[in-house]
Amino acid sequence: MPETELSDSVARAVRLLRASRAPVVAGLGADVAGIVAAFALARKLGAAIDHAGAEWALRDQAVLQDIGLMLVSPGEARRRADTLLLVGDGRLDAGFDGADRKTDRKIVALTPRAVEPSAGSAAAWLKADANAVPGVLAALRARVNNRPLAADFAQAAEVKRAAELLKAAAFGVALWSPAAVDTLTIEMLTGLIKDLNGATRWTGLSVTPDASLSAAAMASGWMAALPLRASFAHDRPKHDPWQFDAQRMVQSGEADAILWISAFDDPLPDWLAGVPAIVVSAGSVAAASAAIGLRVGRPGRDHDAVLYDRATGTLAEAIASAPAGLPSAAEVLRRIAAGLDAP
Amino acid sequence: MIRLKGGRVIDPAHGRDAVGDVWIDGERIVDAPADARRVETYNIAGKIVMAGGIDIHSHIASANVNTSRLMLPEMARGPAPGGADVFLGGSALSTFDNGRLYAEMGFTLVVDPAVNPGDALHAHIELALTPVIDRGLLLVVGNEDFLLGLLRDGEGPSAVQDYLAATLHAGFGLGVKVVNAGGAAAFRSNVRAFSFDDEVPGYGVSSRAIVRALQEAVQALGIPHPLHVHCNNLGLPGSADTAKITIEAAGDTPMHLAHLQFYGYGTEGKRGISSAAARLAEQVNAAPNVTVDVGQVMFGQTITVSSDTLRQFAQRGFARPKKWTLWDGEGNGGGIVPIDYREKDFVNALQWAIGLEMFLLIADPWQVYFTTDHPNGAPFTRYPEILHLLMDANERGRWIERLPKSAIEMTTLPELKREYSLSEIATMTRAAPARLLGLADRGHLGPGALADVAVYDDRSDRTAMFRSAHLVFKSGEIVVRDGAMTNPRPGRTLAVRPPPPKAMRARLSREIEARLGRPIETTDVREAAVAAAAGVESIFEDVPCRS
Repeated sequence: MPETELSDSVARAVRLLRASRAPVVAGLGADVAGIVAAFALARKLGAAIDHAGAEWALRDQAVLQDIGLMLVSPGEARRRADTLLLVGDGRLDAGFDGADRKTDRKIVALTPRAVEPSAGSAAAWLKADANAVPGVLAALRARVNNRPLAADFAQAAEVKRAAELLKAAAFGVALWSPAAVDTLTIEMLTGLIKDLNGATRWTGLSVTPDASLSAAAMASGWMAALPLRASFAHDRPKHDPWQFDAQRMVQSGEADAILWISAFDDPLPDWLAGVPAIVVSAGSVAAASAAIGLRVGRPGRDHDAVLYDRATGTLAEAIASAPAGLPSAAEVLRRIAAGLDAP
Repeated sequence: MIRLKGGRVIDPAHGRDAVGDVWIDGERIVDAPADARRVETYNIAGKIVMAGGIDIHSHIASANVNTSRLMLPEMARGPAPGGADVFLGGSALSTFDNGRLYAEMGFTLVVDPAVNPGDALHAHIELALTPVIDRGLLLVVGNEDFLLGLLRDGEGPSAVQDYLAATLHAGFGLGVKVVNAGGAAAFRSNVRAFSFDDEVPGYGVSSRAIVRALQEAVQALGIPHPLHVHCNNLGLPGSADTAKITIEAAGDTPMHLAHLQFYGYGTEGKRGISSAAARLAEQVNAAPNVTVDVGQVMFGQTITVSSDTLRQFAQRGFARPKKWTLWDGEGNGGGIVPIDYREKDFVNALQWAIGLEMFLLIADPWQVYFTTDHPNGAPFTRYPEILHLLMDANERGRWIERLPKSAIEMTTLPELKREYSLSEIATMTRAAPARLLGLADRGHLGPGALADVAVYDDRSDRTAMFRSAHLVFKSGEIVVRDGAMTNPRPGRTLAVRPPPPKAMRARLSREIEARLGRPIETTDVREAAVAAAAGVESIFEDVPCRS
């Protein structure tokens, strides 16, 4: 995008946002710099802010807020786990094939299909479709605590065996993806992990479905002191998972403008068409239905970026693999913010 | 030039407590010029002038702090007596509000004491987004397999020094902290209690050996801040004995003991917990190589955030409200347990009194530092009340009346009539911490000092006085007027960076490659990365090692 075109698009974005009474900043598919700049812009605008995958992050968040989590960094999990419990998804151990791989690791799976583990040997399989997972998990927790199961519980023998495997672990790690299981499942699983720690060591690892979501959930903490789905429309930032859902705000007509950020070029949602939109994207913005498109670089490819790193479970720098002259999402968002400040 | 005219200047580093002027030129304090032109004069007759406050131990930025924000956001705010919505407690303050609220109290430098080296980039981004104040962080070591391996294999002091140098260089730390040395590692092997002479399973290395090795390495490298020690057995009845043997083990080498209040517990009385503040204070008074900070408890809702996973797990039953989070990290990790300290609770009242006993019984204000271990004892927003309690025995009496007699009777607090002078407050919160961190141009108001200056109204209500500074200057720029931040300028992050020894760097590179499947550069902090993420131009300021 040539500079004149970029300046023109920034000016149009500023005009749209100035005229807006209820803007929302959403998508948030960006590096940490872009996410931070988006929060700063939302604060300046008095806008709501949401991430495309917030629903998933909010499942872990609800459990964190209700009972607290037990977690482990991925490196520690790979190094120490002698037993893994896979919940809901049989491929969650895919990241465990490191140099220090433990081949004698026992895998207990609570999944729809039998697993072919990549990080150990299958020790027990509790067959459970998505809607059966909470029930089987509850049964497992009951057996871990030596409580009886209903007489007609079909998988009683398998559950008993799996419970013994969990209790025999020296350092067990339960893995789940918040994209595959719901809040109550995560809460039951966390309860199970906490119970197991009465006698041995267990912990959990939430395998993120989206690295930018993890980064945004973290940044929401330090930028707003609130979980994702916040609003800066009032004196104090406010959090409400239902009220500040960008899709709901657009479809109900509450939001009158949206700024959507997709620096990893994830597909744009259809419902963007329902409202005047500014799209900050690494993809072809011309093809989007956007009223205003701003083409930016892809973090870690076109420019250096700080990203959530699944291997370490924390933020790490990704050096540009093919540096390009495109502006970063953060630069474009700051230009919009500066435009809003100008008289 | 700026002239702060006619205030009472309290500058204990220069023995000054007198009415006079303070002159600022650019970002420095200067002598009164012979012929000053274009002077901006602030007439502050009757007001108190001090250097900017320095907090050496406040959890304001890290992965653990951030998790604690997200764990208790709903309890952080609520109506004040006047009806206004205010911050009540806990840790749920944004980086922006952390900077703002510190600045409004006249603080200009805050050190986060507990950052896992692997999370240093995250913490530095948070610090860079904390406006006005300068910042630093301490890197937590002592529970990671790499160091434990060096000690087990007897690789000697130079290997530990090289390791610390490489770690500080990569993570831009201002110093080094050890948290329950060996305890977090032992907890991963299902150990539930860990004392100074216990050994880490699989390594045969004791907590004592880890602390001593790190303490000597910090000295040998010339890192200004001595090893910052969070002892074993935090919060347990009898923990005073752990603090005692840790101080004894320090020999004559400098050591800083963090949040000593949480180790001020004896085992007497029918509840099996009592104040051991008097004997601990006596021991500190007799050990000039030792400095401590208090970790004062105040009543109200807060949340405890600690890298001491073993102790936080053990404390989970005390969670108020009933939720707790525990993270096993590389080396250390974190435990987050909310707590509501209550006036009517025997133990909580005892904790409050023990903290004050330590402040009042440790004789030298150069040796005892002002902290609540934010947010663990109380959020830093409670500082003004604590300063009031230290300066006013009658105010303490009013608080004591509300507390359970049975708790207060276990302490010497009612007999302590000492009142801190303004000069002692300025020593404890300015001059001493600057010296402890090796910052020659901070904590005082002499020529050449950085122009970090706080001006307060001289009010008998010390709480009101210290809550809202009349004026605050940061590096010569005005940033607060009448208790409200006016200029959220970016601050700087101070770091001590010994040169990284090549051979150790290569070893760590192999270790990180094996452990994380990532090149070592992934775990380095680059200033450009922090600056880009935070949207500021530059971040770091080097603090030299002692030669």
